[in-house]
Amino acid sequence: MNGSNTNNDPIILATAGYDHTVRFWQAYSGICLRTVQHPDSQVNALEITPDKQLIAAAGYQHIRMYDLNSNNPNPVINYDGISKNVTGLGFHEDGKWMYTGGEDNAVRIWDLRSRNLQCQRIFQVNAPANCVCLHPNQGELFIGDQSGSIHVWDLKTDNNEQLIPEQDASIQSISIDPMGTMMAAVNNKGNCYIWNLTGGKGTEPTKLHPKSKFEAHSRYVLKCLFSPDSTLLATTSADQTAKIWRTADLTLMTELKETAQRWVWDCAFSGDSQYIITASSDNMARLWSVDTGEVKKEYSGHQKAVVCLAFRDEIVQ
Amino acid sequence: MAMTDNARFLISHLRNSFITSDDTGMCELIIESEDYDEYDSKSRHDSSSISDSGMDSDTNLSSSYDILPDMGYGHRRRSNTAQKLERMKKERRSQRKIKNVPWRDSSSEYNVEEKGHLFDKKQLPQENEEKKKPKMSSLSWLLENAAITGSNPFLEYAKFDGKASVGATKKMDIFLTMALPADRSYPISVVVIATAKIQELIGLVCWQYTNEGREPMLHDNIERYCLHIAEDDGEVDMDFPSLDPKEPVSKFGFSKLALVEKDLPTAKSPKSSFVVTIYVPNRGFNKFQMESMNIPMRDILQRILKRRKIRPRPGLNYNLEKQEEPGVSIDLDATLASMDTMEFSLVRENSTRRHHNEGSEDEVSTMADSLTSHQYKSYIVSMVHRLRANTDVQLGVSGEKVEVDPVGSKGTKFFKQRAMTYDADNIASCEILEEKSTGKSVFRITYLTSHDYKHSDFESDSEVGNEIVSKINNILELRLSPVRKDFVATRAAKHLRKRDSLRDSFRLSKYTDN
Repeated sequence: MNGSNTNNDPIILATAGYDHTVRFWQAYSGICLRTVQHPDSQVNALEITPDKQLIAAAGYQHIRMYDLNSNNPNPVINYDGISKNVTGLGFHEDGKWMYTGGEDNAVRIWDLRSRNLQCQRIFQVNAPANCVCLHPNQGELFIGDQSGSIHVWDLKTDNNEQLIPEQDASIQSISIDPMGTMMAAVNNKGNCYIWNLTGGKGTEPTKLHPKSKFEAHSRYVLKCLFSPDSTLLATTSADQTAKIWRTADLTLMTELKETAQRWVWDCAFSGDSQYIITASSDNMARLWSVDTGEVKKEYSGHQKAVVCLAFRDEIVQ
Repeated sequence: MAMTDNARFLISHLRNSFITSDDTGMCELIIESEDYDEYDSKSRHDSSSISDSGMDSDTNLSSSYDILPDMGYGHRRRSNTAQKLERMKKERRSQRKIKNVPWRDSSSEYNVEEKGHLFDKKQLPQENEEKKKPKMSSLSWLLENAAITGSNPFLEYAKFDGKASVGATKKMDIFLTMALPADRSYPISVVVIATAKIQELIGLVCWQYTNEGREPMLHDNIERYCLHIAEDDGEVDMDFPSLDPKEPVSKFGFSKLALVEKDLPTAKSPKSSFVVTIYVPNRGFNKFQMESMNIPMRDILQRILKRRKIRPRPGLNYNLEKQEEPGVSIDLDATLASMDTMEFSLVRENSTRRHHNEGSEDEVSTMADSLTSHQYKSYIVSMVHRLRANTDVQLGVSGEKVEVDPVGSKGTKFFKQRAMTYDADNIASCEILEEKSTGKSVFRITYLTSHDYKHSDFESDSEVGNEIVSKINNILELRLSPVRKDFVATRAAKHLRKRDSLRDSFRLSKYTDN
């Protein structure tokens, strides 16, 4: 492999979507550093491995992994054998396994160590899985599906529970704050639900205590995400905006709006929660100041809608 | 292509291929001496089962089609199949580097005792004191620092950088004419995506230039720059116009270009609007560019008289009228600004002019035409160029010569239409080349320079075109210069050939125009 210096780069920003490419950006300047092909399929979700060596792109019937530290335009690992779209994915924080959820109503745990299927698990739900969220305790998966159910799958005990916050409203995204004390879920009616979380230690399952429900947007909410410092919650929506809420009192802090912006699909906070990057259907990703709602950088180059992004930042000092 | 599942055919084909491609004859000796039947009988039961391949089941070994020797080419051209195979091979090679991991269910049921340790819950730290301290992320730090060093004004063009994109790209060397003299002979290498327009390429060059911290700084407006064709040594080829900024990069085949700062007519641009047109009854019109609107009309009259070489004699004074108001002489001491019009007509004192619309050319007989042919007359026509847009020129035709003068100040300092003069004795022919459906026609003037016939093409309204062509032809007929005679004679001899090549060259010029 011809090694390049991306290895030393503390910041990784990648975006992808309907144009069958994954683009890597210099986050602070908006310059596109590299583009890789994602043949035959759009990219539904992107995630960087904990060791920052690879990036995984979830698409139709495949999860493809690309080397972050070379200029190889082709994937290095291809996970397949899935019948439909893979809609969400993530990693155990030590990189032991990868979890994926998809439209084949299944959530899978993939063992990342080659020739070892110890971790291989599968969990069936009754509707296409829209999102999968791993609790920071690394032991429970929260799955939102199209029928409106949230499934809590305890990986160790293999027990699962199910709750339906709102009838006939597809759960689009789930987020748990890094402290593991709050969970947010958003649905296609524009509503956002917040729970306080307790338990979740040892064999004890996490308990959900409904805290509040509010209308975050007038249309589909596509993504919700807590900031690294747990003080903010971002929601992105089909109403062409993203909003930032204070978690303390759930009041609106900033609305991220741009005339050209269309559906806002995905977002990621900077390590210090000062900036947020969004991906939207107008072929753009944008970097906003959380405080002022001002666009600081634009990442332009995609030929079609950008629907997902992966971002890694580091704390200095 | 061969039906590759017919073993008998294949073997015969292979044998024949060996024999015909071996110059030494060794293959022939060995293969011919082998006993076919042995193989044949052995494989009979096979071949019967594969005879549904579409080939005749009784294909004789000898009837494999003849392989023709290559027609003097060094090696065979690669067939589509060969190319496809190579592509597949390449794909397979890159595929091979990809590790494929299909989903497999675990061989055993999940068992907490056995595998539970793999999914242990992690103890989350309680309220972290560190979190309270204000922190900064790498991204914030870089954003703030980048803000200090200033940003690249051409950032929007970064997306045309082919280095970071997939798909068709074009690599080009761009010489920088505005760079420091030491850097000028070293071009910067740019990779642009093939679908970008020239304008976007200019933006990309500016972006890269700024990114590399080159001096001097560029203007923020990319419209101040244009791209010219350059020689390998960086010399800018100013004989060609700059590349049209609206055209896609893929249209041009040049790999060496030069970024040139446009000679901006900032101060000049308002001037160009002061164009005064003066009609001379029955003798066309002249256009003059005025430096200001405060010029007295007397000066304008002097100019037209000088241009037309009219010497006012006693009792034969000239005056100007507004084109719209025939019969009303204007005050020659008034300024152009007070006239409310830019179109005037030259009249001789004590004479009236017919309204210009009535002055119909139809009434003038061809005889009169040929007699007036030697009189100077100017026309505004478009000069047709092969590689760029037409330019307006003033075509002045007189008995002595044909003059081409540029009109307007369009074009850069480096590429302005030069004024040209064709001596009437050097003009070989003038003819209508094409009548367009738009009511325009293209005509060509062929002339002799040293020992070569060259030609210039012009476009104008059909009416004007016909007038010019007949006027020039009248002059040619009357003068009957050696050049003309020679040309007519050669043309008569090579009539057919000439016509073909003319048509070809026209077609070619049309092709390059598109």
